[in-house]
Amino acid sequence: MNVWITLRNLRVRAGATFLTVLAVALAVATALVVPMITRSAQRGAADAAQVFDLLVTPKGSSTQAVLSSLFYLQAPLGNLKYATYERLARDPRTRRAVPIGLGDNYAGFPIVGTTSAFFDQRMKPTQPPYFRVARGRIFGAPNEAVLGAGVAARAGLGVGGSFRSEHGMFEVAGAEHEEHEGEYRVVGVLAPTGGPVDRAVLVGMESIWSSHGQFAPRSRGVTAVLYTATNLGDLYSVAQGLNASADAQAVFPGQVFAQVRGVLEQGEAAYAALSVLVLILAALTVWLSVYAASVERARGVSLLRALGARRGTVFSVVLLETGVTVLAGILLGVGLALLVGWGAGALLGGRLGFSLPSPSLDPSLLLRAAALFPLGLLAALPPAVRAARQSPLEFL
Amino acid sequence: MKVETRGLRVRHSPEVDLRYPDLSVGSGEHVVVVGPSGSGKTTLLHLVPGLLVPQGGEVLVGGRRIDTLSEGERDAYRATSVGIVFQDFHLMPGYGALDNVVLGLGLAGVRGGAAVKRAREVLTDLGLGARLSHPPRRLSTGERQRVALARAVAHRPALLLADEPTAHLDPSRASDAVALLRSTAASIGATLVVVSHDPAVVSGFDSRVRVGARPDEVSA
Repeated sequence: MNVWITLRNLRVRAGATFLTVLAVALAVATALVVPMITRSAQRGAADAAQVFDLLVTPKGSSTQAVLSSLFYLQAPLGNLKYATYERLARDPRTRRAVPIGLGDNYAGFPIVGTTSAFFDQRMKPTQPPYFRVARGRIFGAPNEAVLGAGVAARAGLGVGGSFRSEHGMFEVAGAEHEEHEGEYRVVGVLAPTGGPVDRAVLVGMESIWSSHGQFAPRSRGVTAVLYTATNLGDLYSVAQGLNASADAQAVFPGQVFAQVRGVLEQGEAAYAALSVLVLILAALTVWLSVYAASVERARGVSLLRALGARRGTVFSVVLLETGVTVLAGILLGVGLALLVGWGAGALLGGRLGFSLPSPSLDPSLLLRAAALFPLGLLAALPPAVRAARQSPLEFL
Repeated sequence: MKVETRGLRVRHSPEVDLRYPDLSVGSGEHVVVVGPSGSGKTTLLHLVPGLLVPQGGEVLVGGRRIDTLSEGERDAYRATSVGIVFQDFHLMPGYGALDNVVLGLGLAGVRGGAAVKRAREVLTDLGLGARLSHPPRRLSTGERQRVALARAVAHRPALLLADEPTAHLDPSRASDAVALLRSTAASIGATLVVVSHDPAVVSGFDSRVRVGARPDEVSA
């Protein structure tokens, strides 16, 4: 009966109830959406870097190294000598050394020169290869290309199709397109991974060299090497050796992510403080609506008591009304945050070059939103006690 | 259900000290309590259902002392055994006619589909079948009174109380309202106590109880 009365009362004050639910929902969504997206972005970024141990690039900013050679988002630092790659590939401590050559694009999608070793990369040595050819095969002959899943979908190209590459890693809006002579033929399409390779075109290193006129072995270079050692000890000794050398550096992507995460977390801490303020504002809105309703409620309470409702009944009805309102607001807010997080994640992922995992709410975030519930009930407690103490004759 | 009072005394303030004559209303009997404004008629109507506890004397309903019950017991007694038609009707604002009646039934312990079915029957019997979802503000005064009557009788109380049932009606409808009250009370076998100073109401009853012109001068 208490629930029935509660729902009827909320319906009678539908306008005020709706506004309170909306205020709570917006506050909850505001408090949740940014941390949800940053956490999801961090997870997405970390996934893309787990198929190798070390990124070897020319000396320079480690962040730029990761953003260019791993996410294809910035211009590369320059070229490593081909000999540096060969030395790494021959090193007995090496499990796998995958060269990366950047510099061209097709319709804005970066063309990544590499070797067949690229397709042998795995999350763990015991796991199957990370990149799987969904249709066709990997490239063999010069001018053969394998498309990332996103490229195939968006450019409408499939196995057997062909295209010309353009100079430059990115497509510059308004600039004149400088097409290369040779034509690439699509021989394979990769299964989607959610990572940056989804929007890359993979070709043999030789194709890159020949399109840039680097025919002589001494003139050849690579942008970066994705390096995996046979064991952890070897990994650090290889990294030390590279960092001591004149032209190369070893970048641990995890360390770069940790730095970026540090910056993000500072921003997130400031945002968390702001969102606490927003939640307090929502709690105040609940308090306000509870008090605004109390005069109107007093008549109803008197009447209920006169009809035989016990003190406990009117007490729990007042608490339930607020509880239901706040709970509905929290649930709507969480839904709204997931929806906005999903949309913003897709947008952000598109720009960053990797798919953000679906936003999820970890317990700490849920706790932040759920804190509103006891705050709301606390607001309802004084009017509930007053209702319970009210005489049935007070308003009759 | 028989209603008796003995030596009832209610002191609202040093100036208003109401003393009532002993009353005895037989089970199923219909009685009107008459007297001028301020004579304590409405207070008597609050004493019988336990809304007010007297400073002295006894209220017995069906042989049971009401004034000595705990508050929770009085609530339960009021919800199950008494139906009240208030002077201003006091319908729940915003609740439709049906919901107002279902509310009374729910407090009396009749829940769910049974309550809805019973509420619908009673409202239809009172000519409100087409007004079930109308909130009080969309009902005429007469309709509001009939919804209040439906709420008071739907749970078949043994005692039906009505405070100035014609106060908001034009004189031509007064006798109809009294007849409806009496016939509805008779249909459920309830004892009916009506408080009124309206001659049109008073003339509709054979049994009358008079309370005095001055608050301290109450007489039978």
